Amino acid sequence: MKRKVFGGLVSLGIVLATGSAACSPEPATLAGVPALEGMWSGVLNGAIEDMFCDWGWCTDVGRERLRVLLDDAANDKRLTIQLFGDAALYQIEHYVVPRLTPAGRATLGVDPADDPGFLLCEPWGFARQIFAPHQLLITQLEDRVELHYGTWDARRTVWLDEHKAPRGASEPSRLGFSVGHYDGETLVVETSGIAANFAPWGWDWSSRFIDGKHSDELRATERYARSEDGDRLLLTVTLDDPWSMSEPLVLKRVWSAAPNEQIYPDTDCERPRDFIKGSAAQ
Amino acid sequence: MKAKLIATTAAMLLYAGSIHAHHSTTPVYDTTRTVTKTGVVAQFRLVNPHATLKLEVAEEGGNVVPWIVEFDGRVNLTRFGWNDDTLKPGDRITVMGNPTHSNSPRMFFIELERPDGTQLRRAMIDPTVGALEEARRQRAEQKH
Repeated sequence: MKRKVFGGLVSLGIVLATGSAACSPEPATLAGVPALEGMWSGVLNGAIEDMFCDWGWCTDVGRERLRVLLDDAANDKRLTIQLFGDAALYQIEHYVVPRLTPAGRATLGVDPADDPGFLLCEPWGFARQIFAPHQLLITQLEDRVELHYGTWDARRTVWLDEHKAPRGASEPSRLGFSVGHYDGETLVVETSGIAANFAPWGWDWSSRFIDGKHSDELRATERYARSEDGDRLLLTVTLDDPWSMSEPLVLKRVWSAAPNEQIYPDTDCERPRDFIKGSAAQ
Repeated sequence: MKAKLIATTAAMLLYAGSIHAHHSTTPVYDTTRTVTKTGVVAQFRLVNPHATLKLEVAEEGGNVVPWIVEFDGRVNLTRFGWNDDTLKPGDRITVMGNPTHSNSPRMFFIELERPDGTQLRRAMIDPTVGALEEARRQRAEQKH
């Protein structure tokens, strides 16, 4: 993918941004459960490694690689975003790809023009939605946890009592069926019944488009917890799909508290009429 | 594009693709080329997943060609303070963006200049870009 010129690095952006990272969401009103409730969004301060994990997903391998790149004086004149691209590709090549089956590897590098989110305005499936950029609004209720995402305005329900959960159709669905429980200070969510879809192995901000696909055998365990200082929401996900993965993948995501942000409707998607195939090679 | 920047540095950022887009834009837009058009705002819709601008551009010979300028979504733009009035009908503006592969009258926004000379750039939409370099600067200070 060819480089693209963007405008100036604008310090004003930091000021005009929500600037809410120092605030924490309101504590949960429910007693006896970890306080995860509130609006979370992009990481705008603190450790660069956390910002890396805000742009899609990250792994321990990728974070370590980024640390090495940042500490290398030879990279002092390179933009951080370029180092992100290098670290992202490194974790794809050294962590994700070795854990894919031949079938999973065969799907790598899918054409972005085939993305149903692009071609059909079809919202993302589970594996991409849980790492979606921007806001995540968490609402903790007695019998369930609601997850509302800024990207696609998508909503998930995590049922805390599986027996009371309204089982939907037996067919796999875009976001699957989720049940959860609290484990100390952590919300643990188990999701199955996920329809086959794109897998988010590579994002287009890295230098290659390297997404792949997963099957409807995908299962996931998400673990949500606050950071020690309370200002971050940390997600660790274990993904297991026997069709595309030879062993489970452990991916991470970080958000910052953002009580002043809002989620807006996502109702104006326009199906493209004028596009080309094969742009991933740009 | 002549510009009076509303904020600092002239350092240009090079980076690939769209960071926080909900999908890749490369099937539609040629990120290796740019096009610049001056025209009158007919409509600005600050919506998700992508905001759009209708720009009436007077071409040579007097024909007015309606151009569509596509932006990142409201979810991105509002984080940087954009609102429904950032671009108003009747405003005469100059916009630069990536053209479509087919050269249809459409572009993906990179930067624009408003009637008062202020300039808006795509990098400004994503405060993460500025925050990143600030974090990097602080990290370098600690290292030394």
